[in-house]
This record gives sequence, C-alpha cells and structure tokens, in this order.
Amino acid sequence: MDAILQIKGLCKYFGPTVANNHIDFTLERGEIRGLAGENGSGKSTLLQQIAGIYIKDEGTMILNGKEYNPKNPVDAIKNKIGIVVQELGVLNNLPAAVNVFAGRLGQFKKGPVLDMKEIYRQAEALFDKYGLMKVPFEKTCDTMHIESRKMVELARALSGDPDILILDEVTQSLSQNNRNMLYRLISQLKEAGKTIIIITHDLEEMIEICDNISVLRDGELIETCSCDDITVDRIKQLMVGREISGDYYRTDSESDYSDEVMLEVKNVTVPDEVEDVSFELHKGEILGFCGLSDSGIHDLGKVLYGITSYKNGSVTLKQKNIEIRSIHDAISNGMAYVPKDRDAEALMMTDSIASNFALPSLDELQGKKPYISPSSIKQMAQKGVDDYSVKCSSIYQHMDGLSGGNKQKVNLGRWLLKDLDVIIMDCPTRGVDVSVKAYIYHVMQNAKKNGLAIILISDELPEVLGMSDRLIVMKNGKIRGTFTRGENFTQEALIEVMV
Amino acid sequence: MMTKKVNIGKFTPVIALVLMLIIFSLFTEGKMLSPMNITMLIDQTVVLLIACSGTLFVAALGSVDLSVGVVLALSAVVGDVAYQTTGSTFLMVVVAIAIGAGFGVLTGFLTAKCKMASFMCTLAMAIGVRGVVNYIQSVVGISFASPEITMLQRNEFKIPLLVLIVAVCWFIFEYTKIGKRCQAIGENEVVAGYSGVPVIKTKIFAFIISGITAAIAGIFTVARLGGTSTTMGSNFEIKVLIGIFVGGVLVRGGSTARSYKVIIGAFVVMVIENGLKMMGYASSEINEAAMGILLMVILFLTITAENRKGKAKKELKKQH
Repeated sequence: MDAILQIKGLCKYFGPTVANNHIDFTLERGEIRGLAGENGSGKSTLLQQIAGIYIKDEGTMILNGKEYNPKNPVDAIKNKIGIVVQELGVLNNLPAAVNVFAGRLGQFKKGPVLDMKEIYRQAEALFDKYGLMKVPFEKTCDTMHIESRKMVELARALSGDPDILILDEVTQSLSQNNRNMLYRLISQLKEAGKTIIIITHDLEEMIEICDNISVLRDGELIETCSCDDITVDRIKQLMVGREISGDYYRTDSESDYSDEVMLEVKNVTVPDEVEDVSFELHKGEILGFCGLSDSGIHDLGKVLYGITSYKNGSVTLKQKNIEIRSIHDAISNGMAYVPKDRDAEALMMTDSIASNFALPSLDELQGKKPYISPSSIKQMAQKGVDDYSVKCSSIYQHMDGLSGGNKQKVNLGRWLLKDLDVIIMDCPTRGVDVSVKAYIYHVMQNAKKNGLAIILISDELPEVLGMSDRLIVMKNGKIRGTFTRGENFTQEALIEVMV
Repeated sequence: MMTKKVNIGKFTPVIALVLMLIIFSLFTEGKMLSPMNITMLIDQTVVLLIACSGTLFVAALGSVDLSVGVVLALSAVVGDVAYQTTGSTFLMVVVAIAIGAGFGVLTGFLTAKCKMASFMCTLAMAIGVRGVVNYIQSVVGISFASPEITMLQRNEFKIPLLVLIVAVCWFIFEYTKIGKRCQAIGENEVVAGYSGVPVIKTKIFAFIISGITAAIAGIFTVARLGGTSTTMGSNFEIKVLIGIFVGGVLVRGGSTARSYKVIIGAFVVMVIENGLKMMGYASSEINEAAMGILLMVILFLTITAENRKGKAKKELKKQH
C-alpha cells in the first residue's frame, strides 16, 4: 500500500489537558477516512494539526515520504492539504470570491490593484469544475446563509487542488440537495486519486461514504476499522467506551397530541422567503419542517417568531388571541426561538453561563420589584445547569469555554426554564454528539408530554421523521405536503415531495 | 490555574490604583496622602466620576459617547441663562438636566434607529454643539453661579450627592434589567434582540442616562468654578473614556462593563493628574507626556489581563 500521510506518536496539549495522546495514524493514498468520536475527543485537534492551524507538541508527521512540519495553514496549502473547518472560517466583510482566494490574492495583481473580474471569473470556474452550489460572488459573506458560506469555504479548500481534503462537520450545515452534491464531489475526488478525511456526527452517513473509520476517545485513537464490516452501534460503542441502548428517537409510531390549537398561521407571505403558508400547531404536538436549501423552512422560523415582518396573512397565538408582529409579542406571550446559528444568534459567547440563562427571563426575574437580586439569577442558572446537566466548572464560566453540546444545552435550557406555550427549534442538534443528541430528544419528548407545542425545523430527515407528530415539507417557500406520523411516514415519501 | 488568572484580571485596576498612590506618595514624601490633598483629590474626581457612572451604560453597549464634554457645557450654559433670566436655581437644574436628557434621546435615536456609528455621530455632535456653546457665551457673556449652586461645593452637600448619584447609577446598572440589557447588546446585538431585549429602546435609554449624568456633571462644574467658563468640558469626553477603559472595560463593552471598574478608573485618572501636579510637574508639557505614558502602561496591563481571561477559556474550548 502507498501511504500518503504517516503520523507517529502525535501529542497536543492545551494547558493541563491532553487533547491528542500519542496518536498513530496512517492514511493511504486515495482513501476516504472517517473520524468518529464524541465532542472533545480530539478529532478536530488532530485534523487542525495536519492543516497547520495548530502546531503539534510531540511526534512526527511524514507526508509523501518526507517529514512534514506545517507552521501555518499556508504551509499546508503549499503541501496540497485543504481543510474546511467546523466553525465558520470566512472573512465576513469580503466578497465571496475574494474569500475563495484569500491569502493567495497576489496572483490576481494587475499593476497596483487586484483584477476583480479575473477573481470572479476564476471563482466561477472553480464552482463549475466541482459542481458546487453557486453563491453570489460579489456579495460579502455576512449577507449569506450559513450554507452559502460553507460553499465558499469548500471552494477555498479545493482551490489549492489538494491531495488531501479535510472536511470537519461540513454536512451538518447543508441541506439534503447540497449533501448529495458533496457526496458526488467526494466520489469525483476519489476517482481522481485524492485522499479525504471526514468528520461527521451522522454515523450512518459516515459508514456510507468512507472506506475506513478511526474512532477517537479522550484524545486517543481507539481503533481503525473497515466500513465493510462495521455497524453504527459498534462505532457508538467504541466512541463512548460502553454499550449504548439503541434507539434515541421516539418509540411510538402514531401521532399523539391534543386538539387544542396553540398557534394558527394563515396565508403568511414574505417576498422571496415564504409564500402563502398556513398551518395549525396543537398543544403537545411536535410539528416538523423540512425541505431543501432555499425551501424557506429557516426563514419561516424567523417569521413566526416576529423577527422578519410579514405583510400578508397572520400568525396568531390562539389561547390569548394575540397576533405576533414582533419578537416582543412572541416572547411576552410564551413563545421561544432556538436559532440555527447558535454562536452568532443565540448565546453571548464571552459572557457567563449565568448571564445566558438569565437573558430571556430578565422581565420575569425583575417582576414587579425595582431590582433583580443576584441570588435569583444564581438560583436560576444553578437550576438550569442541574436540570440540563451542563458540564461546566461553575455557572460563572464563560460560554466559549464549553463544548458544542453543552452550549446547546444552555441554549435550550434557558428557554425551557420559562413558562412556555410554543417553542420554535431550528436545527436543535446541529454540531452535537450522539449522547447530547439523545439527551435533547429526551428533553423534547418531556416538553411535549407537558403540553408544549414544538416546531422542529431540521435539515436531518431521520430527525424530523423520528420526532414529529406531523411533518410539513416545503419547497421554494411554499408548503408542498403534510405527513402524519404512522401514515406513509418514510424518507422516500418525503424526498419525493421535496425535490 | 485558571481561577487565579481570572482573579488577577479582576483586580488589575485596583492594583494599578494602589500602586499609583504608593509611587506618588513616595515621590512627594507623603504629601500625596495628606488629608488636605485627599480632600482635593476627591473634589477633583467628583465631576469625572459622575459622568463616568452614566457613560458606562453607553460603553456597555459597545458604543462611545464623545458628546459628554459639550453636553456638560451646553447644559451648564443654557441652565445658567435660565437662572440669570428668572432667578430660579430650581429652573436652572431642570433646564440643564432636560438638555442632557434631550441630547441623550437625539444621539440614541440617531445611533439606534438610524444606525449611525456612535463614534461618528457623537463626534459630529461634539464639534457642532461646541459652536452653539461658544455662540451663546458670546451673547450672554460669562456669569456667576447662583448662591444655591455654589453651596454644592461644600462637602456636606457634595459628598452625599456624589455618593447618591454614583449609587443610583450602580444600582440601575448592576441590579436592574436595564443594565443587563445594555451588557447583552454589547455582547451581541442579534442575540440580545432574539432573546427579547428591546434593542432600540435600551440604546436610547443608555444615551439618556449618559446625557443626564453629563448635565449633572455640568452643574457641579459650575459650582466648582463659581460660574460658567468658555473652556468648560473641553476634552472632558476623553477623560471620561480613559476613566472607563483604564478601569478595565473593553471597547466592546458587554460583560466587561462593570460599575466598580469605572469608579476605580476615574480615580486612577485623577490620581495621576493630581500626583504629577504634587510632584511639581504642573507645566503642561511634562504633565501631559507623563500622563500619556502612565495611562498607556495601565491600559496595557488591564486590557492584557482582561483579554487573558478570554484566552484562557478559548484554550479550554480548543480541547473539545
């Protein structure tokens, strides 16, 4: 066999914590390798050392038979290694096309200035070559959806014509059609003899795409096995080091909710986003929404919560007969919203866990009193941390020190501590590992039992199928079909309507 | 290890203040800490401390208010006109505070609703309003303060009032939802909005508090000078900003904005100014150069400490 990359005894420390502990890792040329492990097991750290984002502390890396010591990401690109990182890595204020070639803009110099037309042209050519979803090249990245920004990052990684392509949690930000695009791209690259390393929390997807899978736990590489003879359950078991009880979705196969209507949406239209959307949400119901990118499911969440204003139609909380026109209307009448982009839209990253728990409840905490007592915040945060088992050193720890799963627990918990009627969740399990996922589903089912009406917007079909009572499929901003649990509730049936 | 770092970060401004006091008292052979000088020091700090306490709300938003100096001057001057024409001290106070609040509404509206950058908006205001102040003064001339106002200069009135104003600001900032909302906006405006913070209202409110404290600072300045002056409040906004940032508040505001920090910051600024005078460097060349250097050093220390807090946690995150 022909090894393209050999890693021996690799170690990486962050203060007292060992992120990678003597990892031996060999990558064959043309192989597609998956990395599995819980949040914090050291997968990203390993890949970021290969890509020159972190510098290794100990061990050797041999690339194409030569010692390889990248000092920065540019070294890695020169050595034909491309990476798409998990957190978003685009420069928000620069046009998409410039982002694609960021760091290597020198080649576009025309006299003293950059030849922008050439940049746009080459970006276009690159997107065509790999069949990526087109993005508006001249627009700055901050105006784009998370999905488009991922495309830009992917294009950037591909622009160096890499021999090794590293994809860290890329699919989770993509909807089904772009996932399919990515799968096609991966097989196209494999045929061209390229090597690919993939991290994804979707283990079924991983087994499907990869040749081999390496499992990491607590910074150590536990096992590398071939995808031909491995099951999802076996990987899960290796990841957590013990047996995991099979199903984490709901086990009942019939829809089950009260007749009481909580939220009534009538003919809501927002130009370019959603068109003539009507539905009813009932007490104790989990109503799923799915669709391809640009289907408008994420936009709809923002409309329902009063972030985006609508001209035609109405969104009404039936119990109180209140029309939702602003975030204030929504929150003060028992609605909550869990955004897809957790770090940018949901949590105060450089503030404490306590402040984050308190933020949506400031009105309730102050109540009729002239002040908020610090002990009431403390109590609330402590309750949140206990109820939702958030792993942290104290309630005063800053959010950015928590792992993705724990951040999401705070994000959900800060709302669920309140007295809610309706909650809108946009991709609530994005970027969290299996055990936290299972936990979130468990929390959702409990909330459902207590009569909370839940809107679940998701890019993961198994998730909406596994959790919803009813399911609405959208396309181009319109409702294309409604499915009820127990009646033709399959992935195939959904996809038929989605595409 | 981490908790230790955080604690050092928290106390850097206090350490800086104590160090400054020790150094200056060594250089001035203890004169710095004489009861008379301490009284003077507090006296000099009053105006700055009042303005800093209110401007903290704006700093928490991640915004700056450069109009503090001119709002101080304008409310004092117009308030004085009100007193001169009616003879009512009460009216003077009301007019001054109304002007402060009015400017707060205006800047708040321009920055929050019209999305102007607070830096540019208040800078333009600082330049424009200074012209208005100069014009009014060229018409009415310099005048003497009412006897009731000059009574503010007496410690038995001044100190309790100072404590009251600072305490009220502290209370609103640290113990009510208004303060928490300001911090949340500074942390992340989108997050704050999605979590139910009325962003525009809160921003306007923050600028109103800043305007009102600037006006009160104006009244105290009149009391101290015994009347209005043409240079009132010039460069005052810079001192306010320095007070806030030296205390360890970062430019992004948010959770780094804390009441205790601005109180310490205001004292640090005044201790340096007073200490250099006590050492005999009253002449402005050396005074200003030395002050600049000292401030730079303290800013460096507090901000490094504050940033390290963040970094220690970032590293922790990278393990995951």
